Amino acid sequence: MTTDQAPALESLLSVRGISKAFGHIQALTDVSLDIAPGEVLALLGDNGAGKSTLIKILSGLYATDSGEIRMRGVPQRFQSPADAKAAGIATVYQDLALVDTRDVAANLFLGREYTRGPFIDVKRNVAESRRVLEQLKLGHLPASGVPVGVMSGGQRQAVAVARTVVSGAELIIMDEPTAALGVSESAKVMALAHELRDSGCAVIIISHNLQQVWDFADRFAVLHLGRLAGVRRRSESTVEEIVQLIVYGAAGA
Amino acid sequence: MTATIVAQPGTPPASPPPKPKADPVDRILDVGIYIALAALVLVFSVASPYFLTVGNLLNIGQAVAQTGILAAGVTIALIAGQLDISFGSVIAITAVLIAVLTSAGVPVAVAVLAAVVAGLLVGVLNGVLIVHLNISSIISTLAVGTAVTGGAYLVASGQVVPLPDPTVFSWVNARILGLPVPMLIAIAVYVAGWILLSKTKLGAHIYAVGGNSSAALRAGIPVKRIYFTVLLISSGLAVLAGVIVLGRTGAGDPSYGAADMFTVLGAVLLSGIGLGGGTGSVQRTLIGVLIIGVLANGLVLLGVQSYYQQLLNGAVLVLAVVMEAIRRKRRSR
Ligand SMILES: Nc1ncnc2c1ncn2[C@@H]1O[C@H](COP(=O)(O)OP(=O)(O)OP(=O)(O)O)[C@@H](O)[C@H]1O
Ligand SMILES: [Mg+2]
Repeated sequence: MTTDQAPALESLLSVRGISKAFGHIQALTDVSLDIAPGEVLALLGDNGAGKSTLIKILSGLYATDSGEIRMRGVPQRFQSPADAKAAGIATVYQDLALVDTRDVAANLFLGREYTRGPFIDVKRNVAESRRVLEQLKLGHLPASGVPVGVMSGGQRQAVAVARTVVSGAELIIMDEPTAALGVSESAKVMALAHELRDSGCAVIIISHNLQQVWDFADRFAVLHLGRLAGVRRRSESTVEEIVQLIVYGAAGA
Repeated sequence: MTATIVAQPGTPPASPPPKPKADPVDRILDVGIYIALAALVLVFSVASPYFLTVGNLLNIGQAVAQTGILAAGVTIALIAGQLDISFGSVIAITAVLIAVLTSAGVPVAVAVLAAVVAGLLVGVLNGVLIVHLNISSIISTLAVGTAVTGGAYLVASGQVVPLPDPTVFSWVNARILGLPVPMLIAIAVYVAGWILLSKTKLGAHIYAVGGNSSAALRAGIPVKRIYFTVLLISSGLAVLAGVIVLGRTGAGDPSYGAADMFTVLGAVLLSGIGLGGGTGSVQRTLIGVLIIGVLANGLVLLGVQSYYQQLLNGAVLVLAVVMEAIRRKRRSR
């Protein structure tokens, strides 16, 4: 079952008929999905449903067997994570890829520091970091002087997300961002997803925990045994219906 | 999964989040080395009226210059996550090559160039083992260092080789504005190291690579090139130290550098840099260098026998290692 067949005009990312097999395991079968700018989509599904496989395809880690990916209507061929990044897709993995011994500014501009000749333009890196942090309502985080290693799990997640904004990403994918976090920290990460949405980015959140994402996602895409079981708007669905999609792959069973 | 959802407001309450702070024990250990140095200076200046004289302070400066130059190189490599212990062998091969080549009639400039090339080759070799063969830095540099020291003995035929014209390197023993030349060189090295690490993009990348190499790689930082760069800096500074020893002694001895191993590693570890990479600075290493230098000098002034000094050096090293263990334990709570 797929939703709208033609790529929606306003969609940022449009996935059409993607399939992927590992040997004889069919991880994904004919998955189609759209996401618009300024939207938070929760990608749900039981263990082995294919969530990670789908986002690895979108991040350029896996090639597809068949199907098409478009960003702003432009067909993409991702050969590597760099290709996906260049197309505006940034993924925050669970390991966060932060340099724990360095401060926020160093992490936000890791590998793309503002420089003057061979020298780091520390002032500018810190000022730009402050700007991005403010924009994401993370102004309480110190831009400089405190290594991110001493920060809480939620704060570190926030730094990793802020870095995707610095990189100019339009679609930000978070892989189980709340898996290792407590309730209040999780809520903050979800609030951050809202800030991203409000600044015009699209956000895909992979989650096991419907409870944590229910209040924060605009739509829910449910994978079941590698197929898209359904896509629902929160305003037009119920928790019970989504749970049924996750467990049985169909609603009203 | 249960289907019961507790309705929550759309946004979480805006309670002021706690500001992240550094671990208090970390901070005590951080200032500890400054306190230790101050305490040593205080104790020795009370115990010996000669300690705080200009003459003696310059003695200390002269004595720690070589340790300091080596320790700066080791620090830079260690920040990138590579422990380079081949510096002793580079000192030996540098001094021996220059002595042997000039004795054979090779012009001094060419002999020095040969020593520089040999020293940098040690860095390249370290890099190849570490980066391309994925062997840990301590094993790689131990192996390369052992081989190169063997090479130095071979080149010198196991002998101490005197310089045919020691005056060529006598500038090492000169003073400029009253300051010993090795001390001035060491100061220049530390200023350069401080600028490199805290002001330049390369420095930022050295910290990033040491802190999380896979994150650095994913951020597009040329990790392998950075490893080679720090190993070459470390070897290059060891060549410099080798020339200084050569000038001071007027001879090339293949056993040079062996004694530097523990003072240099002691000074570096005392700075609290840790072996994990991604932290540390040459300023802190300098404090470690000074602690060891002041300790050695003060004990001599007090007439303490040299094997007690050896014992104390060992104790300092143990202390540094214990400090690091405490930090690591607290980090991995
Ligand atoms: N690299 C791989 N090689 C072989 N099989 C794989 C590989 N990656 C995933 N699979 C298989 O593909 C299917 C989908 O896996 P995927 O990791 O995408 O599920 P998931 O929804 O992310 O599950 P989870 O919630 O447990 O993370 C599973 O059957 C899995 O065993
Ligand atoms: Mg997964």
